[in-house]
Amino acid sequence: MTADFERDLRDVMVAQTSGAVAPADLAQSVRARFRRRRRNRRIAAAVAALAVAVAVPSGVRLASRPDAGRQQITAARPAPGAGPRGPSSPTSSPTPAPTSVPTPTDEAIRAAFLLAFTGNTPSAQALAAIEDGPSVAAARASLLAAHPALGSTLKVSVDSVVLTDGSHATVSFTLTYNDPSLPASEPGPGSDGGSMLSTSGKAIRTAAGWQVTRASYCSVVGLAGTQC
Amino acid sequence: MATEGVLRVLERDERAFEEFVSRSGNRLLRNAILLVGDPGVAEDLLQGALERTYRHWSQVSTGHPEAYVRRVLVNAAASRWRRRRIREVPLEAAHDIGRTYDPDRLSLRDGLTRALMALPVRQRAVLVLRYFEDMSEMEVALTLGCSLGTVKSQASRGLARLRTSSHLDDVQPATRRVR
Repeated sequence: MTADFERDLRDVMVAQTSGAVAPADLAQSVRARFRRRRRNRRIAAAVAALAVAVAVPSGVRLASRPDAGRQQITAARPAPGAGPRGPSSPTSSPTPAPTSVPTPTDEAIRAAFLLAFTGNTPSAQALAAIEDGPSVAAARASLLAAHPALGSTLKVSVDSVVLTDGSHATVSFTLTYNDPSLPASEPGPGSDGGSMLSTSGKAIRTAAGWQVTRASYCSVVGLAGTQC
Repeated sequence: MATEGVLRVLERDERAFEEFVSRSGNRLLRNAILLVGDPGVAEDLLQGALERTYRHWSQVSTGHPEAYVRRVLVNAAASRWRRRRIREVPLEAAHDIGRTYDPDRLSLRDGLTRALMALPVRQRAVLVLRYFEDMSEMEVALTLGCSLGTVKSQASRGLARLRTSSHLDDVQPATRRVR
């Protein structure tokens, strides 16, 4: 009788929901919702960065994030044009406010981070996406040799890109990997015991296009105990 | 150029996500309806779960994206239930005192939905995955991130409560009479 009840239950569940149909544009709605939230996050980040720029009249941009408990891989760096004038210069002006990134630039920056940090990117492509790539070739090879699982499991997703001027951007991104020998900031999204590390880094526009800055790449590699 | 290669990968991911939603959307929506009762709420819940999936698509797509969405749906339904339970009127009471116009309640007309909504969320999720999704107990345990024993006990308790639920009087009288 139990089997009968279970079979009936299954049939009733199917029958009572069979008329429900997902909207034809569900995927588009999801993407639109995702982009709306991402845009709002960017605006919030830009407002926060503007607040920092106004609060720090010395012209030095602080690359801090509100979630101070997370790993910080970016260091304070002078805002464009701020160095020569110095902090006491009466003519120094506030750092230009970051702006939302136009889509092609945004995509190029995202592509650089994907290439640089995805574990199975061919070496030449990964190094081409990093500022002064050849100088970090040995560190990259050393990292992958010390942690072979990274080659197949290290993935990156870019959460936000904020352009700070025409050739620099701050990028928030999330690394996921499955290697028990490496530190974990938080559990990954899957149920495979993977780990997730959310952090931020810098992108720079060079003659070769948008690239991950050498300092940012080396900071991430440094978290795994490998020095550039 | 390397950048173009990555852009091609991104486009491929977009297409894969669309195909996944197109292939699984109906089933996931029905799963969500059984979890929360209300089709409108279920659609919103599903959109949220898919948005999260889309955000992590590069990682999720290498595994079992549908299982990932189901797990997000169950967790979202549980969170929603925790937020709402303080102000919700018990279903039995609402049924007894007669109904006024309330869109949330209109969706609970079906006996099965009412009976399911009277169960704790995790118990409901176990039954939906076990019988609607036709999963094995082990698959349910993996999807919900709990032990096999928990799935067995939750399924057993859930079925027992459904069998005695007055909401199912009209659903399958034949099997109820012989228990």
